[in-house]
Amino acid sequence: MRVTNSMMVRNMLDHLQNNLGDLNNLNEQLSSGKLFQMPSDAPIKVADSMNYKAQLNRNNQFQRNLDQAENWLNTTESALKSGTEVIQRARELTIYAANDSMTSDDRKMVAKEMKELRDELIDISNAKLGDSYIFSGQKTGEKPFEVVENGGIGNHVKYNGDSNDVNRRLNENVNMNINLSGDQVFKNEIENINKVYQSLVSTRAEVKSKEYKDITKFNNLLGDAGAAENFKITVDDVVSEVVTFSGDYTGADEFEDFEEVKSHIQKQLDDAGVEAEVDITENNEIIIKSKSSGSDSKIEISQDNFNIIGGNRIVEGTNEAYKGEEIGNNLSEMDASINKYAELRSQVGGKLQRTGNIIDRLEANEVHLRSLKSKNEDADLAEVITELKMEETVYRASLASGSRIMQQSLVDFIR
Amino acid sequence: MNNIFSGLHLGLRALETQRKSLDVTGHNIANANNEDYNKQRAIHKASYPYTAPGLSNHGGAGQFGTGVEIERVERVKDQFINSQIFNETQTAGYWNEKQRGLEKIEYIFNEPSDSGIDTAMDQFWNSLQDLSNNPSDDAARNMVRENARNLVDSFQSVESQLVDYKESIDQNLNNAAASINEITTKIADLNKQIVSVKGSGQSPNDLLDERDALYKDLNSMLDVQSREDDQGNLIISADGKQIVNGSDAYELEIIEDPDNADKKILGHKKTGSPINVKNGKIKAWMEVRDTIITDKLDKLNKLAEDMVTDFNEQHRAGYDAEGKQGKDFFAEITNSDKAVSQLALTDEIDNPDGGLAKIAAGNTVSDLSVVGIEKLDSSDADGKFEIDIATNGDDYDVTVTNLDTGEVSSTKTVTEADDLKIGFNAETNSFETDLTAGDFIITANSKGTATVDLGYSIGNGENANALSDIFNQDGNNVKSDFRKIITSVGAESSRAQKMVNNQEVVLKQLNTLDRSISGVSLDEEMANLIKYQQSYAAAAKYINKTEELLDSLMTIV
Repeated sequence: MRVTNSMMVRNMLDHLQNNLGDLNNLNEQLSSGKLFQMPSDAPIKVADSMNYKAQLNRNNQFQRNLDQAENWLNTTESALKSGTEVIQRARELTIYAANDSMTSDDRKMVAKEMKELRDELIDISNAKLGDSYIFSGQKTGEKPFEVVENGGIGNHVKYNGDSNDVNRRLNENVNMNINLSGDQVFKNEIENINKVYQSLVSTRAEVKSKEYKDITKFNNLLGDAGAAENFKITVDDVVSEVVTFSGDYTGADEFEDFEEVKSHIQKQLDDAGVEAEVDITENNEIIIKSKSSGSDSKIEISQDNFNIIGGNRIVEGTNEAYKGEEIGNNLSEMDASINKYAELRSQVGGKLQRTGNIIDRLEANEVHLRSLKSKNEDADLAEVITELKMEETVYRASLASGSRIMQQSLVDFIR
Repeated sequence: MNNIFSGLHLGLRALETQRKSLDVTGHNIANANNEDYNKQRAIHKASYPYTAPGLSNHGGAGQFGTGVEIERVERVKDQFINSQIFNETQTAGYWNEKQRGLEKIEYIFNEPSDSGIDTAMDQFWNSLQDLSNNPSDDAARNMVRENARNLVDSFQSVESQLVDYKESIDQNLNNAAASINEITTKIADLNKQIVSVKGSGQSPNDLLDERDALYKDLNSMLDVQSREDDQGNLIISADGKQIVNGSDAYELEIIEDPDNADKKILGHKKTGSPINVKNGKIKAWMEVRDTIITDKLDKLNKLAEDMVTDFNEQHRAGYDAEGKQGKDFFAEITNSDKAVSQLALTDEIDNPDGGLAKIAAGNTVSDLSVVGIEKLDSSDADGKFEIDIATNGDDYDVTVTNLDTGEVSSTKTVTEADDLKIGFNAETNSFETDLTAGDFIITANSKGTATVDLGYSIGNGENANALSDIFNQDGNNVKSDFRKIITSVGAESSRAQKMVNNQEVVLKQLNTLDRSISGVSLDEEMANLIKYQQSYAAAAKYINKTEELLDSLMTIV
């Protein structure tokens, strides 16, 4: 082939251009650290990288969700822990107080602490994470418990939350219920401690029958009552004619024991809505107590046709302090609470362990994704630098050879 | 008569011929760096010989040469390679411009980056997740709104840049038509000169070079056909319409496509007919404008519309911070072709006063594909329900179970005529045929079972979670659809780059061949220089000797 000067210049320029292009490419890779800048540099790799980036973003978000869920669970756990301590202390105090030999001053002191314990438990139940009450179900904007003024023994607080689950998304397709409903966790416990407290500070009115030797004596007293007979009972000025005895108590309808008598009376009281409670003592005395407490509580029995308690005269109840034994009755519920809390704590602990596992998995996945992303898009510096050196050498060589050959022609040799 | 003086003439002709040849060499050297220049050669020919007349011929040797003359100045050119170069220039022009167009589109999409649509979608997803964690938090709601605005902005920025680019191509076409007209006018002028020079029997070499160069430029713009007539005119036509005929050039202009008034295409001014361009830069511009950008815009619009439809549907399934059923989040798209430009938040959500509370983060229907729920504004319906949908021919049978009480309603058939909607009274657990009287409205979407919770509390972020699922990783969704657009732009652009490179190689090869034949070699010209110089010197010497001959003759006298 005939070689002309313009051909050589053009070829050399083309090659220099190519070399410069390669150098520019490598330089871009070096300075950006990435193998590609534009989708057209490597369409599939770009799509992969976008995918990895999105996955990493999701992964990070899930880790944030998890952090928040863990905070929530930890707050729940510490509330349960404090709750357990409060209930344990309340239990100790209850054991201490379930003793009739206590003086009223002793009782007052215990009562004071009991009240503190009750309020502390309410405080604990109001645990917050950020702006959210964690024991209100989904009604996170509302305080779970509201103190009911003059609510009485078993009605000190009202639950304002709901029983709905609070869920968090912790990973692709993993949702976890992270909340405990305050209703289930604290309501009974608060009421229970309140009951002990009220028992310690209040008296309540009661009437007591004479001692019955045995149930036969009581059955004989009623005899064949035949038509309905009743006695009248007045609690806190609310009068009711409620307690009815009808039937043949020496025959077919006789009471088996005093427990049956108790439930017979109690049922009728309850049905009529009378705030009173029936109890039988060891000596087979029947006691009817007002449920309301305080110095002004009153109970009266009148028109007692059978003379079960007082005959035809009006018997006014006397105000008496709660007995140690009665206070002690709350212990079993407290034991149940402590067990329940232990169970709930292990449940929360289990969830925390699960979130921990998910975080481990997410973190491992993150490392994995990062390395995939890096492999996909990051330039291998050592390789790029080596290539750059090579390209540079080639470029220098082409420059050198070009400059030499360009300069020469026959012109140089014609004088 | 062959005498002593004819020797002087012979020498003179030789001197003249060598000097003219030196001129041609000089012209070659002068144009050594002219890319369009084709090497010229002075073709020497022995001048007409002298035959001694017969009568006075004493039987001596016959026909004496009379020296040399230049027959013609030849332009060294391979027409076959030349026409290949013209053809490949069309294709190179096409791919170059197409590649530039696609590269520009890539820049407009600006992916992968931290500021493109993809990132905006990720951020929106993140804020929805944060909202589901903290549905009562106004800061989280604000982030959702801000990120939604940012997403809208990202979409619209890409769209408006694409539209601007599309419009700028029309401007390009106008300029292209003008430059084509300039070229054809010049070629027509050259035709005139070439014909007249040729008519006088000379070779218009440099004019031919100029015309070839112009014709090559014309080829890079569009696909043209040409032939050269006997007089030397280059007759050029495009899509069967003559644009240069002899010394006349016919202008091209940009006209409206007769099939589509919105589209600007190239037309023939004289006949008014459109020119269907099949190659060259103009073809690439029209393709970028009519196919590539339009396709991307269509896909982007479709994506935006799908996103708005899905997002709004899910948003309506949830309850806002005030416990009211959600309304639309994005403003409704009324024109699918303008979905991106119509992309906006609804006035309610956008309202700085109370708009945040309207974001429906709470509650959701477990499976929107099965059933849609609409709670009337005045309704205080509450409770959890399980809704069973069974097919009944073309209609659906709906049965509702109150999950709180376990009460099961009767089964009611809903028909297409009712838009598959039926009212339900939560209180009485029975269907109400009069829709407005119902406590909530059930829309049957397909066969299946879904649960719905009508009660609402601020701590419920389930719907925010469901909203974020629209941007999920797997399957067909907004994000993967967007990635498909980016991959297709990338792949097309990558292919165009490869074609550009291929075309460069082909053209380079052809140009190398062309220069190998027609290019000026300085060495060669130097050798010629010496050759002609030596010949010139020798001719001078010859004249000198002839003169000596004359001298010696004169001294005799």
